[in-house]
Amino acid sequence: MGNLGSGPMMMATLLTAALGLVIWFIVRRQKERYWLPILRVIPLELTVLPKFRWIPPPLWPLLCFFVAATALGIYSFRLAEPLMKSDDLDLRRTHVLFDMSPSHALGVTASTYGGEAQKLIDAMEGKARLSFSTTNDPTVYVDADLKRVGSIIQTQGFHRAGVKLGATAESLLRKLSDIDQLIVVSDSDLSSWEDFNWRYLEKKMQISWYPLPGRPQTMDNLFIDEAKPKATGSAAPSGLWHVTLRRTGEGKVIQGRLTAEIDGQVLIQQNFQFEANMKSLELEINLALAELQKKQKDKSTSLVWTVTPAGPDDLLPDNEFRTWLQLQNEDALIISKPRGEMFLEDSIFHLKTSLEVLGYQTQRIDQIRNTGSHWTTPSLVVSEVGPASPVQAFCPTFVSERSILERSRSDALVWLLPGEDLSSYDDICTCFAALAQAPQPLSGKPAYCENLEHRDQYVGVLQSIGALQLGGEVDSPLGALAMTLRNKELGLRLVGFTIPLNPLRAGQISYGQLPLMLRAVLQATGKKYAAGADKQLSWPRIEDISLAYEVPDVKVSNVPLGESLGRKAVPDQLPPQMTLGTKGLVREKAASGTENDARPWIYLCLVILMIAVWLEIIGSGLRRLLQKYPWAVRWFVLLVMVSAWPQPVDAGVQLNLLGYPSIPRPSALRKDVAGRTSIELDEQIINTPSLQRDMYQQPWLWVNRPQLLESMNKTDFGELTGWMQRGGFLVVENHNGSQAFKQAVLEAIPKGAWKPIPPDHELMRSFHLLASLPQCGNQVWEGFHFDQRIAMVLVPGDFLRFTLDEPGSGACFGKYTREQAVRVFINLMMVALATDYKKDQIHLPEILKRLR
Amino acid sequence: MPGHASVPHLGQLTPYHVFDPSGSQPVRTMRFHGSQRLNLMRPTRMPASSRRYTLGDPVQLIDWRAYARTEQLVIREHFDEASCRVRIIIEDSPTMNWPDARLLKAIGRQLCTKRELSWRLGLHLCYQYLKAGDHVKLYRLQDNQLHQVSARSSTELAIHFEQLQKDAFQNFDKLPLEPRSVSAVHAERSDVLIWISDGLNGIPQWLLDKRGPLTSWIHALSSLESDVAWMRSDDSYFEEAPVHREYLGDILLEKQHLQKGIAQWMESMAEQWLKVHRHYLQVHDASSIQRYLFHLEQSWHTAKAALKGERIG
Repeated sequence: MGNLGSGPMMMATLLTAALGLVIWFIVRRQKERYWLPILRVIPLELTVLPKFRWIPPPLWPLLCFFVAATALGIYSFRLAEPLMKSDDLDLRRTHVLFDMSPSHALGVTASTYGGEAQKLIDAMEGKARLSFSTTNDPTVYVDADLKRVGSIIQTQGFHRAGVKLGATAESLLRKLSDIDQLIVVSDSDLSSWEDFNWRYLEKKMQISWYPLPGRPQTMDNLFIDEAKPKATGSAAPSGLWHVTLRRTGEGKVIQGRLTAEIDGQVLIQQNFQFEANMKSLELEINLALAELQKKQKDKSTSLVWTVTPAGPDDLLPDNEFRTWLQLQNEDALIISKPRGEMFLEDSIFHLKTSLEVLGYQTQRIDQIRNTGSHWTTPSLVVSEVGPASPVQAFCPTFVSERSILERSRSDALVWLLPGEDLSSYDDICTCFAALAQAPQPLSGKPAYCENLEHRDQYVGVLQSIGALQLGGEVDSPLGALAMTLRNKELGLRLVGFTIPLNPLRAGQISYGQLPLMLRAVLQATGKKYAAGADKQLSWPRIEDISLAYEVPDVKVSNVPLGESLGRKAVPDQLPPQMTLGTKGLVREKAASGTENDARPWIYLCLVILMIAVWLEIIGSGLRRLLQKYPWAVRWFVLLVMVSAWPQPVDAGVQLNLLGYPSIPRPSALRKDVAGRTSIELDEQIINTPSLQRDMYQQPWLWVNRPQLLESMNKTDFGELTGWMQRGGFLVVENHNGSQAFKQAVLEAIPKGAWKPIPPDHELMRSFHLLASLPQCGNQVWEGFHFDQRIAMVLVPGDFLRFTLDEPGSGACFGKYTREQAVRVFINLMMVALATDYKKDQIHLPEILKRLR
Repeated sequence: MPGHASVPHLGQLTPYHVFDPSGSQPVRTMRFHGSQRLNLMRPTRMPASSRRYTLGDPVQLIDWRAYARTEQLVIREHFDEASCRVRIIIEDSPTMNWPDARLLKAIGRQLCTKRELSWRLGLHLCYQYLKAGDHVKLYRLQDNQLHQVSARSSTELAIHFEQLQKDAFQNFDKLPLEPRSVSAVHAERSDVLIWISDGLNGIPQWLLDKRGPLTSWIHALSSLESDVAWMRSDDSYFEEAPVHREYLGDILLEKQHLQKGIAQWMESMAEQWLKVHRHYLQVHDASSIQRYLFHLEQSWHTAKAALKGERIG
């Protein structure tokens, strides 16, 4: 909380204190002093000052005072805390964090950014002990580097990886634990801010946000979301790629060109067009196959996709998108000695075929010969351990030589298969142990791998070194298909199969089952089988650069989706804003920490104080008055009694009219209604030409013509039917029997039904017992019944105006008297208010009696 | 104060309230006049002068014949009356002008000041002694200066009273006052000397030194001083002399400090006076006139009752 917000609070506190002083002074002045001459001869041994004595204070004022004083005290101090800390930044250790995330490239160049940064640092310099850092690297710059901030930022430029400010601040604070203020120079990009709980940090330090000036608030950004080779059934590469383009804006046609290049060499260029209402566009690109195959061997080569819109684009870094040039699927190395010439005899042949079915490009070798300059590690190494083969021959220890890049990209998978005719598990156990503890070297055979003759022993050892079972029942590793262990350091997942993977026509594993089983194992060990949309194919999209400074390809990371989308953080999520104005640095919105905001409490205290003061003043004034004029007591008591006299509850019903030519005068009808029932009609009648929303607060509504409702648009009509479904009662007059309107209502409320009103309907019984309803020509009264009640009445003719005895009405109801109309009106009103209460059995005897 | 309005109180005392300065004597000779009762110490046969012998009576007054007849010791006394010299001194210090109007308004009572009370008492005594045929001199003591109010006749005194009452006892300019030196008054012989004061400024030494047949002090206080129930605990009360003292009502009333202090002071005053003189009477404005007059008539002249001093509340 800064001083900007607490200033008024302090003022309020001071004012309250001043008010307290004034009140005290008035009270003090009220004490009269009188001359008492006899005091001169009385030998009083009293202190002149009053003794400190306990006088029981009146309870409620004391309570009010206590609450107010406590709260004011606490919050005064709390508010004063930031003031005491002082905001003028003197002698405070301040760190400025420059967010260099790609979303900054919107409207700001690195040189402008550098200039702004220099301005900020210059404004702060001398007022605080300064240090700064950028999100580009973890270096903290101090002293002499402060002068070079502009050039440092300009040199570094924006990075392509995203930034999570929370994680960045956390790693920063590990290095700089004693800073008093952290200024984050950043845009309000949601993906950067979303993990930053700055309110937590604010208890320890002051957090400010310094936005870069002159940035556009909205953006229409075009970017490549995804590029992947088209999945084909066969292992052979097709050269077809799917590229997904997206945009954040709308309403503008964008034309442009998509380019794919390798090592600066353009492979293909393709034009595209974004229609105005399109959010994403998928392009199918056919790359020159031969060229790619030539490059295929070199796996570090990346394919760079560039989108170049014809017009301007808001954010440039994400126009470039990299993918691995891996048209082929994952590769698998199978180390196994051949068992026979015929493939039926060679169980590993089936394994190889099954892996190929799953999309792996397989390579089979008999044994590992040379550990020198080797191929790049395949993602899956399957090694079958036959009898009497040395450990070095089958144990793929070369996986530990994988580069950091490869490790971070994905786990390597090593399957150790016991051969069919394996006599001892010692070697396979040794290999497992060696891979499990890599990169520490294993010398010789560990003791626990000696004399393992049975599968049970092997499984037991694997379990004891931390392997988890794969398949089988819970807690029974002997039933497991394999044991698996992850070497986190190497990014290596070991799967030690406990049974040979030999498909047999009539065995445990059939030929058909093998690929399915392998697929299940692959999935269980965290590796998707290669045919689907594979994570491995995509170039890293580093969301948080602070966790990936050591990753070598951080500089060429694809821009994270969050940065490209450019969503804004809500102002409440952002720390108080700091701006560089003419008066220097100004920190705004200081009281935004709602949990620390004392204002409600202060207001509450002031209100309590005010009530207490008024009670005191009015109470004492009243007491004096009553003491002075004893006769006033009687009047006062009388006044209180009169004011407390129960007022009759207003049980008025308002007439809501829609589309009537004039507002009728209901005086005669009011008299009738009030005289016969306990209900009063309001004198005020609301008549509007169109439906108002506040009419839905009333229980009923009179509509002059059904055409008024027919002409309503769908939304309004939906609201009206919604009101009816919630219990509203609609009276539609001048109905001429048109089916269209009835159909429209039926469509809106399909559960309801139109019925002519039968003679035993509640409308005929609700107050008066009616024999019939006034007809107009051939038209009868119809009711829309819904939810076991009547929700709408179609009235033929101008019934209301006839009831109200308006001139020119009732041509239709010639043979009916006004009295009959009033009775029908009252019944309608009763139905509108109380629906079918007269259908209760308890009313039946009375109704029958009266009917007789 | 209960019955304050109904019972005539000293605040309403006028000179015309009759009292007999000589006491209720059944026989009054017409040869003399005056309030002084003279015991002539002569045996007499008048039955009205007879009384029973009490120890210490002169033996010569015993009527032995009556004793022979009845075996009762009967004394035959002969009394006579004479005109006596009466001096009345009213102290008029600033403390006598209390309770002031502001205080009375605050507590909502209608009371007379001590000054009014003392002048009413003084003028009443003066008038009655004059009526009885005594030589009366009325003095006003103010700041150690004595002024004599010239009152040669009871009528003149009545005029003075009416005048003062008209001015609510605040304006003494119209009173014919003649300065007298204190030493002259000291030396003056008197049979009866009555000092009317509130005693807040102490008892003048010359009064204590003065030995006379009948020197009495009518200690005139205010009813607000003898009963402090009217005081409010929230208000504060002060007195400037001799040093400034100010107390909150609450403090004064706590544990009845003030009440006890006043009672103690009154006792000490009475004691101090009665060491030297025989007559001490304490009154305040709410005291009943009837009781006051009764007291004057009954106890004033009987030494035993007067010895202890009286308080008419």
